[in-house]
Amino acid sequence: MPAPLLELIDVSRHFGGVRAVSGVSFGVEPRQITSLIGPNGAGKTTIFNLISGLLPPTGGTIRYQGASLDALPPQARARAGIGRAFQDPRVFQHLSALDNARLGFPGQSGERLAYGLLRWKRVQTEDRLLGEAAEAMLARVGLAECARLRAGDLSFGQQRFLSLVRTLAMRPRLLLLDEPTVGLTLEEVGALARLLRELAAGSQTVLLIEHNMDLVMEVSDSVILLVEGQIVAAGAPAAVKRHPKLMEAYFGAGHGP
Amino acid sequence: MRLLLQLLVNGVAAGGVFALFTVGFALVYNTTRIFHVAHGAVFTVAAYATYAGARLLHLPLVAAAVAATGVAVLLGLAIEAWAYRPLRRRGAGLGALMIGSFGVSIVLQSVIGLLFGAQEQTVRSDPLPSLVVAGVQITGLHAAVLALCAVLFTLLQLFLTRTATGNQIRAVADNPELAALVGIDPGRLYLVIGALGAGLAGLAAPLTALDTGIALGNGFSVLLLGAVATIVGGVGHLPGAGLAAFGLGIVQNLSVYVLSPQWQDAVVFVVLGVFLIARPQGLFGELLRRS
Amino acid sequence: MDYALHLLVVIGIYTILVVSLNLAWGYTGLLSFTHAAFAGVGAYGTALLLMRLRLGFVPALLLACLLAAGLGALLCAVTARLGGDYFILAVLGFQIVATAVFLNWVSLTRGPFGLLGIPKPTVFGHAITTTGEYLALVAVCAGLVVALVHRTVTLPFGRMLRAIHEDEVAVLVLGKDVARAKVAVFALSAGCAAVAGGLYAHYYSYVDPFIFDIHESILLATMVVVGGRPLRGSIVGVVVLLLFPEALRALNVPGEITAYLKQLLYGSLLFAFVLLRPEGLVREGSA
Repeated sequence: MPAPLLELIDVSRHFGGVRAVSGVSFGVEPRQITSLIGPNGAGKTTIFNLISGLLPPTGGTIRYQGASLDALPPQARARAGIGRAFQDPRVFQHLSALDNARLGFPGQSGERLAYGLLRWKRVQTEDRLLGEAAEAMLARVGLAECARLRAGDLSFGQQRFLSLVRTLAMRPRLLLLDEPTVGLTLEEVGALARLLRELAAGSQTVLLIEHNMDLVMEVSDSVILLVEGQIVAAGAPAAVKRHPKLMEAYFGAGHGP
Repeated sequence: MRLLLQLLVNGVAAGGVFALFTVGFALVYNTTRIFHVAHGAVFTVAAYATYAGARLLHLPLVAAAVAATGVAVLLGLAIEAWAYRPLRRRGAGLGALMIGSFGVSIVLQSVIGLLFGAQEQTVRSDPLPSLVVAGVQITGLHAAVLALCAVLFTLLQLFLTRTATGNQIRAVADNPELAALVGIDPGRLYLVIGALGAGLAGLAAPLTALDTGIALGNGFSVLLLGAVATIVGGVGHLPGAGLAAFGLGIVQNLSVYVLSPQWQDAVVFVVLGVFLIARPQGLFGELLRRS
Repeated sequence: MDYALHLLVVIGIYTILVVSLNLAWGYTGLLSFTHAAFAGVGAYGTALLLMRLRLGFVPALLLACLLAAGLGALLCAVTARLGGDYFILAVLGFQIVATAVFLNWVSLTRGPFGLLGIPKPTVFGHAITTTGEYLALVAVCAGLVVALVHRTVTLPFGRMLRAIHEDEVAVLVLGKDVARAKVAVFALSAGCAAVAGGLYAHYYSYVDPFIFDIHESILLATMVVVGGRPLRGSIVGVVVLLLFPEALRALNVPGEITAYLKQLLYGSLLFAFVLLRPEGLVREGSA
């Protein structure tokens, strides 16, 4: 039984009196799509912030590839293969779409100042090749014509796909996607679903936060229901779908707690 | 030994003045997150207003001090209404607000310079009433500073915890988005905060003016101290900032025992450096990671 | 004619300063009201190394730049991982303390009297004596600095800087070492500012602690804000803001009033631009 790629063990995060996340434990299996669902304010994005290293946990530990993440700052976790796409696309508005995509590629020698100044020609060549790779990735999601445009001038949906391309350029081992369908047109949601299916077929490990239940049920290998900071149900999509807590969480109680 | 005790007494009194100034700065910073550089300029204006009142208009000292505080409060309101609010309305981020604050600060200080010139001035001509205890001189001003601190900080604490406006201010300081969702109107609060903060600076300034006189160059030095004290105390912790300011006042004055007084700014800077390296969250604060 | 040359020298020196501040601030978002202090390190450093240790002009200048770069790197390294306000406070404190050091370390800097009689430089065996020759020196240095900064911003490194300015966290989760990039760029920026300081000291043959104080830093910041981010903007900012004191001098306004009027103008411009035209006069078209 292979170890999970990512494991949360009894993780908690409190803000003053508010318990955003309490005693959460789950694993993300490699090469699978795991979905995190739950009502607004349940703590899903907080969990992503904890995994990315943007927030320290108040309790518990997170393990990635068998080792604890506790000491690693966000950029080290990213370099270890944890790719994070935010709920808000957060593309760099003043840079072109192409430059946004290029920023995803790791290990660029031109990003070191001294090297870049001394080995100018070599860096230019490398950057040109990266530009070609970035254009190819943009073409795959239908953004080929937008490559030279300012990212801030793109539509919301285009910015969403751009941010995905940027994150995918990192070749992340674990992809954290936060509500990617928010703000997308129906057509764009279809394109996103296609992209997710492609990623699944390509053995990408994904942890997905989503409200779009159809999409979740269609692509997920495993589903976790989070309510008020705690895991209430977990398992195969079909099983969680029928779980009474799911109805209650989304449509309110008529029953007691 | 007697010298050290005297420096300590002076330091406590200086600390009290710094604490008033710093709590005013921290109040604005904690709630609006603006690095309120203009706070130093408000201090300078109030100091010169004290001078103008006492020396040019020949008001009794206390009246001049009160008038100066009033001027400061008005200035604080003006800065919030005519500088920060228009900037915010144009979508200025914190960085732009800070630069705007710098601009306002420079304008105010240059106007003071044009009106009064750069020379140091004394405000008080008669010696202060004082008491000598164990060879150490404690002046009426020392006592006034400590009394004012005690009264004002108590009142401020009551205001922040017992009144509706005060609670709203604390809510905005803790979580601005949530406060907005709950329907708290920040505009009015910012005016209150601006007035309160300026009022505290406006109280600190006459106390310094009456003690050691005024000088145009003081604006940035005292701002540096206030900002450092806010950080050393811990961002978000108002009493911590006040306490840290007291501490800095004492440290500064005691340092005169070994260093020449011109190095006072350097002393503050070294304290900042120590904290940034050893304990960036300050004494009582929590280090907020980004998100 | 000589006056025109003098003006060009001054513009050249300020251009170096503003371009270096623009690199740190306009491109990377490192707000620094302390670049005058770095120039001061360059000025005092070059002059003292040349006069006391008898180093040549170029080695003295380079060493002083290294010192400034080191100080900049230190300031940035200590605060890079903390919030932006910590950095601003640290550099502000550095400016204030630097002025205190220039003013009070009398045995080294001769305190308020300043350093007198700084000799004209000799560059690679050629003694620089006339204003015209000095202009050539300044032009070469300015050209080098501008080329260096231009290269930096067109590298992938420059792309990363602009991204950091916009959204530091988004850059972090892409695996980039944001802190190291900031330290590198701020060190470069400080070193370039020191070049301007060294040129200044040897041009006027005199430095004093008040030349490199916070008011000078504020002037530099105003030039950046007025000029705008593209490198062309830096020259525009310099020229616009140097015109005013020259006009005052032409009108024979008394010296002390001049200083405060200048401050009044800078503060007003700073506020007005931040409110009405935050991108500056030269907007981003291509750069």
